[in-house]
Amino acid sequence: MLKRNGEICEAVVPNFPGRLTATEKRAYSAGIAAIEGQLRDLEQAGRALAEVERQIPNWRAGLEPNGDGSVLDLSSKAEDQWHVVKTLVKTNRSELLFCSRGAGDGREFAVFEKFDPTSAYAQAQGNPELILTSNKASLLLQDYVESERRMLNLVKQDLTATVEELLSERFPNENNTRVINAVSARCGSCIAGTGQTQQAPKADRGVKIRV
Amino acid sequence: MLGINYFSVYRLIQRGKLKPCRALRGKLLVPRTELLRLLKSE
Repeated sequence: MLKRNGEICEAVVPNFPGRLTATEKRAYSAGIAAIEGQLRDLEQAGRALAEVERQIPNWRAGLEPNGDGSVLDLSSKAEDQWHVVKTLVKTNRSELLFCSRGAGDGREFAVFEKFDPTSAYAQAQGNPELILTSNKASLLLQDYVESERRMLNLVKQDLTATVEELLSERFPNENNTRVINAVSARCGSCIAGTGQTQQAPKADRGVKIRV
Repeated sequence: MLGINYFSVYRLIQRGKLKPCRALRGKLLVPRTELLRLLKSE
């Protein structure tokens, strides 16, 4: 039976292969409770991104503008009109749009972020904002997925740092390294789009030596 | 203050449009002056 600081390591938490002591489990629960809302958002974003990634091969086959004829006007010139092909992500305050313009070999593709027009940012910076552009749709979508994955990793690092700061205040005399690792693993599973898949630790932790 | 989505802020940081400070444990903090700069710039 594995013990740490006199406590049995028996608490199982999602997506972390090790077992935590009762004290560590308390710290873990406090940490997760503090970022519960953000964790839910991260999980949704991870799932949405995994769905986009899964659909990229299908989209390559039919990259025509969508039926509602949505157009993004960046200026009065006709050549600056982008046609919305797909909505990649939609949140309450913004949309990420996969767009195209032109035809044949001269066709261009882009990803725009369209903000809530009443937001202070949209009013100051203009709306929508060009994020990525390319003349190859598949490369653009792949770049988009990688860029979003990097962004979600940044969120994960920030959430982990938030929990680390909180635990150092609430449990100043404890070594919270394993708890932080468990929280980081939980955030990581959200980004992967796998949700809260529970990874059960192996029952037998004994070491076998063959002679 | 910016009126945009939580993830949009991280996208701005990633693209270098918003420059955060790193606190002791690596937590990202965006100074108010940085937000004001973004809202004033064209």
